Amino acid sequence: MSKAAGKLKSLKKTVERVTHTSKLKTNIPAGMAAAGPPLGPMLGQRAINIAAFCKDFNTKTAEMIEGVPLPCRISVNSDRSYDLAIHHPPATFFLKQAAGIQRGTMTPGKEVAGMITLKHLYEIAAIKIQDPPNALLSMQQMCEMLISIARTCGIKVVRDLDPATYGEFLEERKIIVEQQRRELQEKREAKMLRTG
Amino acid sequence: MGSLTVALAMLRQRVFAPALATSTRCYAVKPAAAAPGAKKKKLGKLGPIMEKKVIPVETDANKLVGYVCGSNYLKTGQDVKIKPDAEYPDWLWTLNTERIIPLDELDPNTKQYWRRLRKMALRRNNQLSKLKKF
Repeated sequence: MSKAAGKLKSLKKTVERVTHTSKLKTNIPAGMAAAGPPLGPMLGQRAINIAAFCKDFNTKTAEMIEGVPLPCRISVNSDRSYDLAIHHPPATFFLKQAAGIQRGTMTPGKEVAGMITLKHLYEIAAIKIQDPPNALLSMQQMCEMLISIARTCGIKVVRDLDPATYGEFLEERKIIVEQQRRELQEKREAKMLRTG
Repeated sequence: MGSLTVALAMLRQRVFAPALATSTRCYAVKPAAAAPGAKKKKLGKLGPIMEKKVIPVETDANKLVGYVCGSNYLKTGQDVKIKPDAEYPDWLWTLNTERIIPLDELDPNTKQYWRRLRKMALRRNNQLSKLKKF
């Protein structure tokens, strides 16, 4: 009885923090991995060496433009080593860049925030299909997925796009987006004044 | 004499009691003080150092139409150029981009119909379970 209890006690001493087997799935800005609040606790809970991870990530993403969000899938092994898989940036990132907009629409389905052609969609699908989760999809399925993603951003997919008309559309959008931003800022300030 | 002191005591109580009450008994945490505190905690998630980097977006419409801007997210290299129509597969032009086809227009013999039906049923069940108390 006491021998078993003694063994249990010695076992408890050797067991360290449990390495969770849950996968880490986040978007980390390229070259900007820091030991800060969003990333730090996520890594720390899985017992990953945060500084080493950040250095490793930043060296891998050294050739990429700073700040581009990169989806990362991290799985931790029992001996504290980790497998890091860095995918291409999210589909919404590509779609918004191709359409020339900074923010998507605030009311998907009702507002059009940007336009894109089917050819753009095909090229983006060609990039995104290189990601591991999408590897088994056909190009047609990938394109259909991107169409539905574009719908949620308020990006309209058209067959052809005229530069002049699109330029005008973007100018109009700029004004609307500026107005929306101002309204949001006012609401935020009003809330702070109410409760502060 | 006794009644005078009693009256004075009562007066003192009436004058000082409210002051005494507020200065000594204040157990409840004011909600106004809690809210900015909670807000600060929530804002602190981003951290003082890590700011959200705003990535520049192409504004020239000609470039947006001719190239897939943003396709090259490396420091070196060019964006993918849009090729003429003939180089893209034919099914590309037949993709449905306008609207979501409602269930009653889909053909019940396709897998897509039943998948959509299942998705709608799941969503409906989730919404109904939201209305339940517990």
